[in-house]
Amino acid sequence: MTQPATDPDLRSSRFTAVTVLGIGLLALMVAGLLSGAVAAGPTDLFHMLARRLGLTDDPERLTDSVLWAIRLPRVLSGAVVGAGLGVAGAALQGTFRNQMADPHLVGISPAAGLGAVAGIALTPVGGPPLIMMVGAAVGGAAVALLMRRIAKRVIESNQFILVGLALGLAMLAWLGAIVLAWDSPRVPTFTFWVFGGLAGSTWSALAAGAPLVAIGVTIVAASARSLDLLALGETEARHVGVEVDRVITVILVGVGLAVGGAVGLGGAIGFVGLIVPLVLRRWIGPTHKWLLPASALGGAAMVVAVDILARTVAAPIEIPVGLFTAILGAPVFVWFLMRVGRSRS
Amino acid sequence: MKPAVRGQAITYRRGAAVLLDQVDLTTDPGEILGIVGPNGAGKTTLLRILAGDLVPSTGHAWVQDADASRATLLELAQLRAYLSPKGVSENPFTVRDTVAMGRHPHRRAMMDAQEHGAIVESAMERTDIIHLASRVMSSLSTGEQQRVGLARVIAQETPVLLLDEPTSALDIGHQEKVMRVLRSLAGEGTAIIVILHDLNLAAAHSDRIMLLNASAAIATGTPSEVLTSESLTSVYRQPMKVVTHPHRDCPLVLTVDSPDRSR
Repeated sequence: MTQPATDPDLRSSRFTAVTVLGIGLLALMVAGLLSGAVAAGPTDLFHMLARRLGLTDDPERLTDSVLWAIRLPRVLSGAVVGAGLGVAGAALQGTFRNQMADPHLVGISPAAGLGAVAGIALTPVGGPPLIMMVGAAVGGAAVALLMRRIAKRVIESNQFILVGLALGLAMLAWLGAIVLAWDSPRVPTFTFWVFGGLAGSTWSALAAGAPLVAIGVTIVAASARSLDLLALGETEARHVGVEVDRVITVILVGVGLAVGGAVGLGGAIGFVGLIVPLVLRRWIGPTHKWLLPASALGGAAMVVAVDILARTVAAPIEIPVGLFTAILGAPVFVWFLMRVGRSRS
Repeated sequence: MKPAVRGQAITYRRGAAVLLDQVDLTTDPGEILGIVGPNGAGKTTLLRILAGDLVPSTGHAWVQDADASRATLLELAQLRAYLSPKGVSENPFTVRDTVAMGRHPHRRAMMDAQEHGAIVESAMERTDIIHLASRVMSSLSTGEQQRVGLARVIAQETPVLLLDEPTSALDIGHQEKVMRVLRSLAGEGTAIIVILHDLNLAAAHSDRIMLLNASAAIATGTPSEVLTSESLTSVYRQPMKVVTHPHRDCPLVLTVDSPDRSR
């Protein structure tokens, strides 16, 4: 494998970034476990872990069940959702050579939502969440591949985003119509499909969603070098030997799996896949071998952090996670659009 | 000597339009073949067929022993490099990383990172972009990006170079410099097919020239055989005069006014 010679300061910033993001993620996950209506401190956390590992015969405390059954799956789901969205965003931006691409903005998350609802409809009452997750992945991958066909016809990058937005809004409308008309307790609320939420996190959902995200992320990561070469342009990448059509199809299926798992777990959370790679690319450069793992860590840290805000700011009322990511992310998106507009004029 | 590139009766149709009609061509190792002709003559279509991007409707194209429309992309990438006239503006990589991407077809070669790196540095030196090495591609001017593209195809180290207007965005100094680089690559045995709009650049630096017009190769030969007042005047629909270059052993092409106005 040829590795381009890179500046030493970029190399050290990559190491710093991965270390900082990794430690930050761990710290945020602990903070997430310890925040909420039932007070829990580090000793309660150790108590729960010790009991779970069979290291103590102490009687069960209230915090044990809160930490194990409610907060741990929630924090882990947040991390998995964020990692999936971060990697999906970086992969979409690389594939479409468009730094504004994001699973939410180009319609992949709404499609995953539609697929998830279709999956729920196909699941027998009391059945496993896996069918819903697979439905989400199929929906996400289908629209990711559709956007690839659209990208072949649309040259202007802003136009591509607008097409994705319009497609996403239409699918969201269908989703809303179905969810509201169906009105079943088996289907999460419309708010969940528009702005996400991790309140319903369970171990069984995590056991179905996390492997999908992991497989999707692995598929994308295996194409890291091809994603670099796509920056040359598709024709040029082909000229240096990249099987462009096959590689992009594989990447987009990986994106579909990652976004499907993420949407199945946390609903549609926007802007994570947009901002995280955008910021990290400026910090550690565009090489995907580093950008993808860093985006996984950064996305996970962002969703875990925002989820803490979502359940504490107006406690006991929960604010949907996606509202916060939109409040943070939309201005960044606007700033980026303005900056691109200025540099072109 | 076995030709490095061979095209046999290449015809390319799209719908009812015939974009290339029975074009034959050969290029030997160490030779520079210039392709000239007016807009829409079929120059880029021909180059893309030789590159394996387009499959000819009838006829064949070979790069060394590989059939361009059958070989895998990786096989072709080890045999020919291709430079298109405009680069990609949104590339977030640095110049050095971009040039290093030309090494991709050789990533499994028995070669360590330092050898790959040395080839990348030497390609950047040849194209006069060492001072830009750490700059991000999207911050460069069009001409600078074009020189990076040339460095990338040089770093690809293929026996055949297919270049579509490699000098279109360059100032006159860099145009001549690029043509000298091509001559030195040819001296190392590379076969080069280059589309040029500037007839004098083609006249001064090509071993042979192919003149395309309306989908057909109407002449192929040395610059002084192909570039004549009569052929150019009729092909370009513009009165032309070809004289001998006062300082170089090649034709010099001049545009002149129509006879009725020149009197």
